[in-house]
Amino acid sequence: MLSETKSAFGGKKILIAGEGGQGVQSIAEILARAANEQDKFTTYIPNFGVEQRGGVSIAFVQIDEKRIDYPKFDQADIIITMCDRAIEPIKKYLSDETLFIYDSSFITNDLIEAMRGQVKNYLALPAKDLATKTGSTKVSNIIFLGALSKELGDLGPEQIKTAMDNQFKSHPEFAELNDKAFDEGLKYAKERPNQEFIGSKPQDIQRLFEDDKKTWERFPEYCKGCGLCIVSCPLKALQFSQELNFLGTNLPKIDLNICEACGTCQKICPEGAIKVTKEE
Amino acid sequence: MSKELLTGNEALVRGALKAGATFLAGYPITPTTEIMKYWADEHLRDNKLVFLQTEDEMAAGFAAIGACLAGTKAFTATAGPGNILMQDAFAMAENLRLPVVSFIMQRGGPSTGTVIYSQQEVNLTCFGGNGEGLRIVYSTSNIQDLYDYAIKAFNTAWKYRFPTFLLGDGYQSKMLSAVEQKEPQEIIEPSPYLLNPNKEAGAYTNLRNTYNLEEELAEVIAAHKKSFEAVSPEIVEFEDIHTLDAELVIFAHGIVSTVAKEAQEDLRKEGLKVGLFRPITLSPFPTQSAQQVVSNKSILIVESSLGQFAKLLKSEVSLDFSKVKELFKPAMGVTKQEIIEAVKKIIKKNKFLVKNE
Amino acid sequence: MNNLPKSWKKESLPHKFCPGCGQALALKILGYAIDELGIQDKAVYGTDIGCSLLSWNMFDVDTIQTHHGRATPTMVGLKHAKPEAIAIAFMGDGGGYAIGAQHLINACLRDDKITVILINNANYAMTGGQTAPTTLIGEITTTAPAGRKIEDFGRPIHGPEMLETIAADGAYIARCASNDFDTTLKYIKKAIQNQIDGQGFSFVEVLSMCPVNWKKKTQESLDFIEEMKKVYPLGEIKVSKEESVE
Repeated sequence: MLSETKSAFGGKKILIAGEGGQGVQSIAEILARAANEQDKFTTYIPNFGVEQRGGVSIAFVQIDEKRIDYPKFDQADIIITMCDRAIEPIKKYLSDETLFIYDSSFITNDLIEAMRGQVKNYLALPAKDLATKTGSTKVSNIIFLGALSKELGDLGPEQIKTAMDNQFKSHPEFAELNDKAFDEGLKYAKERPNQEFIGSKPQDIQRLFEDDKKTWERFPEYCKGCGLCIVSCPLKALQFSQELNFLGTNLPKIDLNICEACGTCQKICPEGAIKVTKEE
Repeated sequence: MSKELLTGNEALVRGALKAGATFLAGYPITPTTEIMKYWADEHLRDNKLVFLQTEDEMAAGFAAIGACLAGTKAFTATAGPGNILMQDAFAMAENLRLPVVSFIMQRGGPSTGTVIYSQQEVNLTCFGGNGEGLRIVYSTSNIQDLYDYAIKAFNTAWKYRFPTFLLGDGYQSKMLSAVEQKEPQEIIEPSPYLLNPNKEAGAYTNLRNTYNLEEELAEVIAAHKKSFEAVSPEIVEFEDIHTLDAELVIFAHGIVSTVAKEAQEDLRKEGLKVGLFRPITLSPFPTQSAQQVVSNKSILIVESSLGQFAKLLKSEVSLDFSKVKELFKPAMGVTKQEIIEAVKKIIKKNKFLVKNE
Repeated sequence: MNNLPKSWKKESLPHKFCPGCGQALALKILGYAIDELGIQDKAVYGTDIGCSLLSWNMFDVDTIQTHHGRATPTMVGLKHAKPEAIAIAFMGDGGGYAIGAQHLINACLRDDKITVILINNANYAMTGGQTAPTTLIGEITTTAPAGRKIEDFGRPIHGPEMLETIAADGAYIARCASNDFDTTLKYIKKAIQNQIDGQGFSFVEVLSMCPVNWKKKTQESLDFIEEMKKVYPLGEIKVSKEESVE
């Protein structure tokens, strides 16, 4: 593979990959706009499948002192990976110099192990955990943005944070949360604690809840955290738990004391992620 | 075998029936409308045949696809604006390698042009839709061809599994002429893509033509291309008439090759060394054979279009453009006299050039 | 009842529909209908373009994904070639009421014995939320940013009611909402049974939540279904003549 010359500034080729819905394209756009504000040349292109949500979402962002016409590149300077399914597609963009930033609290350890030989340079960033600590799993992408913001030379955290605030200015209710998440990510990237090259170990999530009258089972591998079960339960026996499903959003949990096993939650779930049985 | 007088459209239907076709979906359009009429009559006699007059050509194309998926030898017939609408279906057939057979009887274009005749649907039939032209296209030249190649189209389609076209024209559709209705030497049996009675229990087929990643689609296209190239030598057909010692070779396809043949014969009688090369399959194109013919010869390309066949020829074969002349009569029949004059003009010029070297 | 229909293909799960999608729910219900009618090995499922194409490998049933608006004519062709097949065409409001409208109308007119299931989520979802024939007046979409106006897009289409005017005696036409599991299952089963019995064309429109493009949270998306019901009343718009005689 021909290597591409890097320009003096450290023109950066950044690849961001995650689940559709994790906010990959949002942060890509923020980066592009931040670069543009600083009079740098930038090019950004999304690359995704047909689904509105889910499926792997990939963004190619380039920032340089000279004009960039072709939106894709062979090898990335920085790769951000936010979920398991994004690991395979990014492999061909890895080089010895690439900085690999991955969600060490969400990406399965087996997948990280398998990359041990290929990754020379990394930041193990527990984005999901940090996001939860900050207040919502939905700001994982901002955690990554904060961490990334110290890697772009004179395009620094201040400028990127400003671009982020601009991007979300029509949602002022999220401003505080976003700023907090950004700072968390940046702080972690500066301090770099726990930098073993490992991923997340499979958690033991309780699937089956039972008493002598009924069983209620949930399937984290199907649940997408939509909440239809919760709003549809006639007895309000369901609420969101802290445990996460395969998408990294919250699983529902049942209160067996209230539940009467009517089966509404099972019927309404578009994923088939709930099974209710009444003991006869 | 007695020779019956048939119109071109009738000959197509006879050939289709002989080939074991049992399903026609179509929408009336001149000059193919009679195909539906004859099929509708046949359907009265034999109710195992299916006849579907659809609301438009898009429905006809997709209904034919549905029938192919069920393992039925299905075909459709259209021309001009109908051919344009059917490209939606043909593109899907290309993606999935479905053996849909289509009879395209060219009429004047673009748009509704004339209902009469042209050779202006070469681009559309060979390369229409948003695919790469992995289609089989037979360019028929007379009514006997319509019968023979109707049968061949079904055999080729179901043997090799690419959408297959018979490219004729309005003259051929409407002509009345004698046809020898030979028994075919072989008939390829169809098999279903869906609801296959021989499938494993618990195994189901899910077919799609949309892919998520560039790589997935690229792989599919590469596989199709590989298969197409592998079978092309078995499919390719052409006619080569006296090109070996010719100084000038006429390139023509379809019905124009028949009048070109008449011109060629007359010219030979006058002692002029003229040959004729007629590709029968426009896709796959008889590239190797055509390439062998062109060296050191003058070329005259004749067609009833503004160069759709010429463009195809030039893309397939390496030509010395200084030696190529074109006789284009878009949407009009070409006469023998026009061809003879064009040839003579070239030969005269060649002699002049030689004399003055 | 199991949490997953037997006729769903487990290996293709989790499916690609958005969280809270009413279309996915309708497909789950279709799966149960196929199970209960025992037609897994006789059914052919044809899907259109749009979010419906995401279901291409959802079923352990032979399936074909076609072009936009062309699920209907493909199933029509297949049914005519193989009348013993149970042909189910699945599409959205664009595939049925816009680009595929003439196919839907003519299949009904010809009384082609296929079953059409149409998802009405009041927008073109896969492409990001444009106005559909079923978008409500005043509803905001990306191509009607100030809300749908009659003078720009015409009035919302009442598909089942329109088909009823041209349907033959043996046709079955109904509308339900996918968050009403029991009724949707009942109507879909009746529609398919109509085909199995050789009665005629059958059609079910299913109102479905689209929280992503509606930009609504979960409860809000269910509330919007209630709004839609005021414009698109639920019920069996037409039953086959035999049943109505009973």
